[in-house]
Amino acid sequence: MKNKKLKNQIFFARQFLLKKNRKGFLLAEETLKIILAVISIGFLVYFLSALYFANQDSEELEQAEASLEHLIEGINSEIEEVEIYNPDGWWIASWPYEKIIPNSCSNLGWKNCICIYPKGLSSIDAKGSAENSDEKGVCKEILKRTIITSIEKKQSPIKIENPPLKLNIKYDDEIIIQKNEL
Amino acid sequence: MKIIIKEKKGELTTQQIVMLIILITSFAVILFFFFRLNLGETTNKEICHNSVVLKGKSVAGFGNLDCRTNYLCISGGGECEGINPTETIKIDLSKDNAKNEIMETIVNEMADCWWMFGEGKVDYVGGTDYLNYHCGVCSNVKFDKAIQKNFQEISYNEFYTFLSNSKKDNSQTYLKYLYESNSIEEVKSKLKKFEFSESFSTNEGFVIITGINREIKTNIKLSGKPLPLYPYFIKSDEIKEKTECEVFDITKA
Repeated sequence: MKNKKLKNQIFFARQFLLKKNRKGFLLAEETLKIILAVISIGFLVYFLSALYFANQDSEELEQAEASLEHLIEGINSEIEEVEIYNPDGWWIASWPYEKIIPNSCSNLGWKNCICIYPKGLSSIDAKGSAENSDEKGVCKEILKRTIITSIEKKQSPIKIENPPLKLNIKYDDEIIIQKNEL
Repeated sequence: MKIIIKEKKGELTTQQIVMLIILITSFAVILFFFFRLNLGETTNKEICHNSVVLKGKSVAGFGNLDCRTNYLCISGGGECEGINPTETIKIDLSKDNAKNEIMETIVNEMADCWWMFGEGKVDYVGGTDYLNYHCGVCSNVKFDKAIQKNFQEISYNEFYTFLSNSKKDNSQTYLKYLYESNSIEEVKSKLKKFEFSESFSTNEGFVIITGINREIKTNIKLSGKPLPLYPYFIKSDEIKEKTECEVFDITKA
């Protein structure tokens, strides 16, 4: 009789433990699912934002290319004033600048070129600007030596801001491009 | 006998040959004129309009706009200085209505601009900026020396009166199409900063601009529609001063 009672007690204890274990097992499963869902959502957010910013960057690069083409066409037709509207916050520089020339120009054998590029942390000097022109900007060849300047006859990049940016162009032995402040 | 019949069956008569030549020639002539019509031509304006509609319909504004500024020279026979024109429209200055022709050219360009950017119904600006007006320069307009000499100035009042009197099609005037109103006074209220009492001098450079602000109206009913910037024909120096434009990122040079 005692044995039977003991057996019953053991049986119910086992059942109770099994149930508890099952509950714990379910909890782990749910946690795993949640973790997987969070990872997937995180990946999806990263993917979409990367896609969005890639799209945004390519749009600005296209604008830069068109603006540069417009400037070069203007120079070739000896137009004295050219208006640039975008990309906002990017810079225009002519090369060679402090004897440095971006690789994207020198690799193609260009002696003079003009670039439009976004200014990064590294572009505080000519070398950094050349690196940015190579990596994120756009460059085109210009046959005559060109000086883009805000100070008389000294190279200094011009920022595209408060559109339209009006550039005055003087044609001499060298081409001098200056920002029209009026 | 059998052989003769066989030969006659295969033989082409002179009449048939003449008919064939006529048919081939006329087909060639039709083909020539058909290709001259250039029905498949897609202009920059059509490309721009398509990209605007596509971007307006895309999820989260993905896709790039492909709109380029048109450099328009309105010429009385000469060349426009300070511009590399992509399009030149000649005006016959000997005609009495030469001034109207000039204004019509400008108005057509404004209508093209308004059409290209979805007539204020399409939200084509991506991103998260809900505060600023995003604008594009549809056209950069200059006049040649002959026009500058004959018509030194045209007043904006005269120009807008011309818009209200000229029909774009059977159903509406240019003023109605461009500004969704038949009243010049209402248009004046829509172009708040613009000075209608002034004139534009033909020796200066002008731009035709349009744009939108994605601000969602905070009415009881959220319309969710963008606020359009109605087309302006304005001196390029005065954009900031006389329009609401802040960001220029929808057209390429």
